Amino acid sequence: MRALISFTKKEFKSQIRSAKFNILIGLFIFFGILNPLFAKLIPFLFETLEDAMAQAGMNMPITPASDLDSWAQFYGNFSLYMIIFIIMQGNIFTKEYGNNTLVLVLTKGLDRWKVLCSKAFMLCALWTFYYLIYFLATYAATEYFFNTSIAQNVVVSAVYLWIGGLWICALAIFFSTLAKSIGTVIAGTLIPYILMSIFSVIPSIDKYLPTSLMSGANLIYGITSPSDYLIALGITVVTAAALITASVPMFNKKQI
Amino acid sequence: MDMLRITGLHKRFGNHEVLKGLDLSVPEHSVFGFVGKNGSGKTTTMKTILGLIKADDGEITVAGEKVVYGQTATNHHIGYLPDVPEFYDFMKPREYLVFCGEITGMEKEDIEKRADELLRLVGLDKEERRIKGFSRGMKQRLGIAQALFARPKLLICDEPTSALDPMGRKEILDILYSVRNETTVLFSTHVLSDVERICTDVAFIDNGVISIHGKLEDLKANFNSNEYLVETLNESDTFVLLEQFGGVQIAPTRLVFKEGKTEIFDIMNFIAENKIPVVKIERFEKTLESMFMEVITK
Ligand SMILES: Nc1ncnc2c1ncn2[C@@H]1O[C@H](COP(=O)(O)OP(=O)(O)OP(=O)(O)O)[C@@H](O)[C@H]1O
Ligand SMILES: [Mg+2]
Repeated sequence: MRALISFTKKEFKSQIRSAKFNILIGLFIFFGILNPLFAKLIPFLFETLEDAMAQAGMNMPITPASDLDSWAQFYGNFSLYMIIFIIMQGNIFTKEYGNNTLVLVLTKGLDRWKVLCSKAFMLCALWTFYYLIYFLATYAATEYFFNTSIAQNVVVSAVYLWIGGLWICALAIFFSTLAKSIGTVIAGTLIPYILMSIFSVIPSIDKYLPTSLMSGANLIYGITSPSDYLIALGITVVTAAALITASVPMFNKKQI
Repeated sequence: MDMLRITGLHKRFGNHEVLKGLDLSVPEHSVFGFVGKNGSGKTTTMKTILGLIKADDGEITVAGEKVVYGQTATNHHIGYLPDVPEFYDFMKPREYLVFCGEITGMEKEDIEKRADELLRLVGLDKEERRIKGFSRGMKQRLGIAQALFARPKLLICDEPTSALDPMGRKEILDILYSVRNETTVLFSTHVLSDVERICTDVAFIDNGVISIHGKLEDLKANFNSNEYLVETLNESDTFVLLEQFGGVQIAPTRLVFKEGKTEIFDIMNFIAENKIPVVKIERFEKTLESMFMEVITK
């Protein structure tokens, strides 16, 4: 147990002593504040276009922006930020393969599963941390810019999205035990994610896919209710657990 | 008891067969030199002992326990210094050693004590920089310290002196020699003078198998028959000597005699009596070097 804690402590140190850590904090605060700003900006854009559109015979009613629009931005931009996260932090395993730093650790007799656990935990913790920053920044900025609170299920849908992110982390962990390079890990993680996002346009399939947890917009508009996602939630938890379980023997067989 | 025993080890990379049934046993408390030319499979053998490379065939036991690829149980007995040690370079040397102690499950006070002790031993006790700024020689020193940290029964070092200046080389060899009472040392090298300086046992690896293996003293006793070279002026005289005394003709006018087999004074008498003109008579000391050359060019 002490070995596990010590290795995790080392992972933690390696994060907070890197420039990347602070850069990502800054980025996610920025992304969060951007959401209500975009929501504010869009009606302005329409307004400037209004005359031109009226001349063209188009008449669009402009509804004033609300917190709802800000949260819609939150969900809309999420996949881009998830990709940025995976590209920046997906090397948590592969950088040690490349540096050969695991050789000394494993030849000291530290169990491989402990290394796997620490790193898996660290990736999920990092994800949770940045996501929390992104959420809180959006929340605070939305409160600041809008005095409406029309959006429904804000917390529940954010928790669903967080779980969806953990599922993507599980994919990244699985591919990290399989591949040697960061490129393969990114591809292996993002291709299933993108494929599922494409398949989710088919309504009959959508409700089984982990990606449906990440389409929070319907929840905040009140079109769906939290209980509609229970199947997807179950499937997400089971597949994530299966991916992590499968990683253990893969990592044991890996040539370090 | 043998601290390490390897039997019938086979390993191929693609269609290049590196190890072809290697057998090796390392007795407890020996300082064991593992010698072979570049690419002969020293590193491969060591990594297989550590469970980092999967053997195609053969068995390895460390302190009587069987090594299993991908499992790390037998590594509790081993301290390992790889050919190019890589550390977490965001740490300071002491911090890294403490980390090593923690993952091997040592007690807190013991870790502190051992860290001070070993940093002093390898001369890094005043180093306050992070490992990022270390030279190769400094990394090698830290490498020795981390390998010895948990008081391993078997210390495996892959070319420990290769990155070091002459002073550093001597220091590291002295360290390896000084720890022989607490541990068994196996180190690879192609510097034979290092072997002669500190080893009790030696094995030569060549063409995927161990070609010579044993106590350094015994090997020296067996192989160290010195040689005499006799060079005559005329080819015909060389032939006369060859007829009379045997020996090996290595050039038209040069003969080599093994010490002990032929009495050199008899030859000298013969030369004097027959008034044979000689260019030179020379005695060759047989070294580990020449022994090794003999083995690998055979
Ligand atoms: N991962 C690998 N894939 C393919 N071939 C390899 C691999 N590792 C080693 N080899 C080959 O195996 C042979 C033995 O390599 P090894 O590193 O064990 O030699 P060595 O005795 O340690 O040499 P040196 O004295 O240069 O350190 C070499 O021919 C090398 O090319
Ligand atoms: Mg080598």
